[in-house]
Amino acid sequence: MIDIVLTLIVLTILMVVWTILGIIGAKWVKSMSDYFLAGQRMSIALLTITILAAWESHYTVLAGGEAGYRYGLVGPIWYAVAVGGALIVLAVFAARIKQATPSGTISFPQFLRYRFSNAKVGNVNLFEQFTAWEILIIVTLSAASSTLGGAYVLQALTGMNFDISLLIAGIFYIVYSIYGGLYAVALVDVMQLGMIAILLPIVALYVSSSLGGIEGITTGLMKNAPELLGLTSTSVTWMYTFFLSLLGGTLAAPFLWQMIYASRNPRHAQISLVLSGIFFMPVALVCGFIGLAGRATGLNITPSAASPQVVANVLPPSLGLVYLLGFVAAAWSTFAANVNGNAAILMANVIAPYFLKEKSESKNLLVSRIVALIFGLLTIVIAKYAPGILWLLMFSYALRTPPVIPALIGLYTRRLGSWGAFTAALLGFIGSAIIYLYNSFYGTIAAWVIPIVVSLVFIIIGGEK
Amino acid sequence: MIASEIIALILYGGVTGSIGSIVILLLYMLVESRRSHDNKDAGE
Repeated sequence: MIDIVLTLIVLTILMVVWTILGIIGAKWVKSMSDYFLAGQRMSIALLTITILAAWESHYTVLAGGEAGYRYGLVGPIWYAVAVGGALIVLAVFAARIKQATPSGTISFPQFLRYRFSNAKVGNVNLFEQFTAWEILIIVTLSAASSTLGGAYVLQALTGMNFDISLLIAGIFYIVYSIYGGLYAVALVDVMQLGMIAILLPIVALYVSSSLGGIEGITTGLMKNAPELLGLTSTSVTWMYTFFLSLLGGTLAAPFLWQMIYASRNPRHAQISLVLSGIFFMPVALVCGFIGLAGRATGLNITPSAASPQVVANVLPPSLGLVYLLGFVAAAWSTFAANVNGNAAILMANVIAPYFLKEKSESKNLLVSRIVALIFGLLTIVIAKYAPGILWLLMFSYALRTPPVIPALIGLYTRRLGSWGAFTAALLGFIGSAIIYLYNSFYGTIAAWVIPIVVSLVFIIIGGEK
Repeated sequence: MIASEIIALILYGGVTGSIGSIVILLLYMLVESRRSHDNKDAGE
């Protein structure tokens, strides 16, 4: 166990250093991203690294570990195939996406607004409002899983009570988001990639040798969870739910659409997505292995916290502290990006046009920070009552799916008009959200089936031009 | 035994692949930047 006071001091120092690094790096990153995104100059290697840096995050560490702990040998393999495979599937659509969008488009919501601009009531573009609110809900769920992850890591490594860990993790995240996290997310993402792709394999090797190597882990699993040793140890419904929600979430990821627009040509985008998918798989295997090793120890572990708990029990405290720092740094940047992104959306769509008519930069900043604070507090409440990290992530991925279905169909036929697409996305979103809360498998299926059926009905009966 | 071979594949495949992919990407970036420099030189 690591001393609690030492942990808090180290976290505070890290937060200050991170903020200073962010401020120094912000200008450089801003000019770099303007250069590459606006100029569409991203090369294959740079695109692949940028996608991997965003995709290999603290979510991978925890959700991969949870998959290994819960589902045994199948967990890491299926996690790797599902996430990597989803990136490869997006490559199939990449050329169409790049060709069908006007230059200057930089995000998925912007594409929806452009392609389905006739869905309007008065002056309000319905897709614009829909995507804004949808993103607020989805991103809050993802941010809540960051808070929950931070709490699990703190609890595992210091032995603190869960509620106190949750509160401390939440407060650190919120303070960082409001003061430091406005800067240089891209820079932090790349540092996070180094940590996950290089540090974590070393941790995995250390864990393996501490538990008696492959032999020791196999014997441990035979003793503690023999049912997880086969390749049919998990239910098929879990595998479908997992694959479909990840596929939908990946296809709808605004960040990936942005990368497709930023590529030099469609072929570059396709190659980068395929490479990212392939290169993601080994990292997922490593994360899953740590959870699997946790199952072999026979310790009483919370599945969502399998990775930090294995580290706390197997690694010496000094290495545990390195893991904690790496994890928190990775989670901070994602959380800050999520919470500040949400604040920006709410400011642009609701607060600025209706409540903040006078434009003053200092007032705007203050209101943004208050909104970020409210979102941050909300994530603590959601994290307190959520069933687990994997559940939160899969729920948010499933909810991302409905608008992407009409968008993809709209790439291939002009017969799907604005109102058809909007109805498909809205009904799919509401329907799948309600069903998911009762049954995750049917909820995920609904997120695909409802928008497909509604889109087809509109294509057949309507044929809007 | 098949289970231990799969576990070995998950661990060693994962470790080699993770570190290997970063090395490959860094080398690829190096080659790309060299090539763009060469193109610039040729253009001038």
